[in-house]
Amino acid sequence: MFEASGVRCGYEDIDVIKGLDFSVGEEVFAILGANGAGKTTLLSAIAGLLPLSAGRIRFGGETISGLPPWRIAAMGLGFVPQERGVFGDLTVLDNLRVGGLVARQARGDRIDEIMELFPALAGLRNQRAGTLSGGETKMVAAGRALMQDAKLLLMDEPTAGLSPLYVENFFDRIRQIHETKQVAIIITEQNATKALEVADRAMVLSLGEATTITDAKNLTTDQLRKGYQI
Amino acid sequence: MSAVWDFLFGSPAFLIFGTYTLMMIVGLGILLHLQLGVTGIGNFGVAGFWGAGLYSFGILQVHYDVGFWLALLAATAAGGVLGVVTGWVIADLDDDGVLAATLAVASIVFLAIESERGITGGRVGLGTIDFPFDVGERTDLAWLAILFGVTGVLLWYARRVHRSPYGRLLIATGTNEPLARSLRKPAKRTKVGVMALTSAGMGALGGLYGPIVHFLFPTQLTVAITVSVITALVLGGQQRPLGAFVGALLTVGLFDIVIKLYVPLPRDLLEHAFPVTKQVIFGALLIFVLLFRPLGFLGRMRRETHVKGLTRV
Repeated sequence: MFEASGVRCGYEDIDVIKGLDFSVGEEVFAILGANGAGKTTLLSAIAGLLPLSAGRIRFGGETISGLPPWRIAAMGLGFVPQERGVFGDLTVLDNLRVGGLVARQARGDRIDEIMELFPALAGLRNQRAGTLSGGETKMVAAGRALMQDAKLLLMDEPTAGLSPLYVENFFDRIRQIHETKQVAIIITEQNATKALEVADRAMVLSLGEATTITDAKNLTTDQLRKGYQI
Repeated sequence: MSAVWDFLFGSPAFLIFGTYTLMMIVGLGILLHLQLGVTGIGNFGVAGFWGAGLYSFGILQVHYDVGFWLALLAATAAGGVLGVVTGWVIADLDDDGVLAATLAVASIVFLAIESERGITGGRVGLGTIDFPFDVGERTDLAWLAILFGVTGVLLWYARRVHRSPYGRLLIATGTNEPLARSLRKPAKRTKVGVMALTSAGMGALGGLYGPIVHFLFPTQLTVAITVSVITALVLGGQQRPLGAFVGALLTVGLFDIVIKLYVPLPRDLLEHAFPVTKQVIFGALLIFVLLFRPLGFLGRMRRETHVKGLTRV
């Protein structure tokens, strides 16, 4: 479904990601790593928000590197950024609607599905998204991306800054999204323990390079420590 | 009763001209609201788009004897084309870049009009432009009614945009453009589109202003127009369709109509001190509003959902 080969990207002349090769199937794929490992940079590049300096990214059999973000989104790749993942001046319902602007499935049905997935949003649907708590904001951001008929969801540290209760709940939802909607998910996380509970496979990223790519259940503490440079 | 009538309408020509100006500021303010308050495009070159329409209209009427409707269409097109070009240039710029670029566009229009004397008349002026119809003494009043109608249509359109999927896309782009870029619609095209549409509207308003002044001068296109529109919109509430209306009433309405017409100020004061004092008061009001009510008197935009059941979207 998704394949990255020889991917290098970064800011100005500095490559933050230094030649990555990995592929993702119909699964939950966790990208783990410490601060500065390049997780956000990598997801931004996949979403088309950052140009590659080398390499190629393919999605659904087509090369998407070099395409503008909206074209990539139209191909079924939904992006949930770590910060500012909602449109603050729009209500929760409007955020979902704008996500499903051109979705094929009737917007109403899709919104009902999102509300079932995140019941806490039902009571907040007329509230301005800019006034929501961190956890609620993350739910709206995920819901908005799902409204886009996403086949692959990129989630950048979706539990960063959330209370432990929200974290537990959110990881449950991630697994639920994958299983009920048949959506593949690439999730970046610092919370390795929780991410590995929901992921099928994982990649440990260290200073822009993959130190390990393996089944989540086979990832050892040593491999993690090496990646996190502990 | 007669005394009250005389007091209110004793200077009908002045009152009508003041109301023309008021309607023009309101109309331009509503269009700027769609650019700035909804889509987040800080257009500091309103006078340029308006002026492009005004002079296109004037040139076609004066030099080529083109009929009113065709000239108005050309004025609208001139504003629209300038909007497309400007929109394309500014789409990837940051906020400061957008302000500088739009101001530059207005300066280019001003300088072009001032220097191309053969066709624009330069500082000597271009005229005369008459109303497209003549209903005797009430022609100016009829034209005012038309301006009221045009402003009303613009207000209706702005309110409709707020409630439409297109409006949601514009608000999304204005609120969080980086995120809007990863929606399924190209943010750049969205911004160019809204600039084209609203600038065409500004051009059309320019065309409608021609018959009011009869004679066109480059001095009518100074940054003062832009400042008046921005002041009105920011004071009233840039995120609300009615913001420009409320702001224009508080600025142009209060100072250029009510005080000038109904407050018995000495003529010397009215001609010399008043215009300067007015600008100082506008500036102070702007600072006050930006400090204590940054979204203007009407405040934040309303987001009515018009939805009772979740499935009715």
